[in-house]
Amino acid sequence: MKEILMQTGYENEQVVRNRKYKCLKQLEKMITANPALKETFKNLLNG
Amino acid sequence: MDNPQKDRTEEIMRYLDNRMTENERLDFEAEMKHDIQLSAEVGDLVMARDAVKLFGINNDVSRIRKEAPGNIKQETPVIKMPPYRKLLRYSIAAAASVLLLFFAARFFDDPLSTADQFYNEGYSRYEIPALRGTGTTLSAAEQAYLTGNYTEVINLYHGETGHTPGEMLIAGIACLETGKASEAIEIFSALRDKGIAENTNSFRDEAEYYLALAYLKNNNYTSAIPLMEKISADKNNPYHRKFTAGYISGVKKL
Repeated sequence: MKEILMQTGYENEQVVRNRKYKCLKQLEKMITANPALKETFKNLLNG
Repeated sequence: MDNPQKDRTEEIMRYLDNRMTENERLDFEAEMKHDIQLSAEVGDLVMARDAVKLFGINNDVSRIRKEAPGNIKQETPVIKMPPYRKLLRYSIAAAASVLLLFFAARFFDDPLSTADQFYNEGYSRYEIPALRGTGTTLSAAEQAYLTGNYTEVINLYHGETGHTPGEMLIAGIACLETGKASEAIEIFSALRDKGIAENTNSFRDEAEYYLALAYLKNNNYTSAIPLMEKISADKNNPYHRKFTAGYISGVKKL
């Protein structure tokens, strides 16, 4: 987090964490919106 | 004022980032077991997080490969295995094809070539007796026969009537030599019948011997075999050694 903070210029680590969570949430929505893609990821990650 | 949604989000973030204490983690996992919605949400987020990690790892691997081509070369033998296997597979396929063609050729061609082989093995060219060539003038047909002009022999045969047994014989042989097996059969049959009718053995042995071969050449095995057996059984027949038991057995298998 500190590395990201240094490179991005956010106020503090908590802000970076929040941004990271939002990005992750956005990605999760993109993946779950496409069942075939979700299945592919599951197979890749579990397999 | 407390914000439950914000607390829950913060909890999830801490869980995903491994920032929980051991007890907090156990409590959170116990809660997920009872809360299906929470469990599903965390599961999807874990998947998204791992997807990012996987993407990062793939990027790192690509970057390392680009920066250190030597490393790629070290992996080359493993990468080149598929082409080697392909080559091996193609080689085996090619060898199998050649074998298949070989056996197919033998299977389809052997009956024909074997019939020819039997014919060539049993056939002996008739030689006009030397006695005829010394004190006696040879006929035009005989002269043509001696020079191997079989077409002329046949033409002379068809151009004349009242053939002698000798002229019939060499005409029949000329037909055999030029691949006219059916015509040879007619001439040898006529020659044999003539001998029977005139009660003479003149050229009858020759007529039967070449008739048997003409039948063989014409792929008429059912007519050839009895004649061959008759000749083989007659020890006084000058051609009886031509058709041995093994030879006749082979013709029967055609």
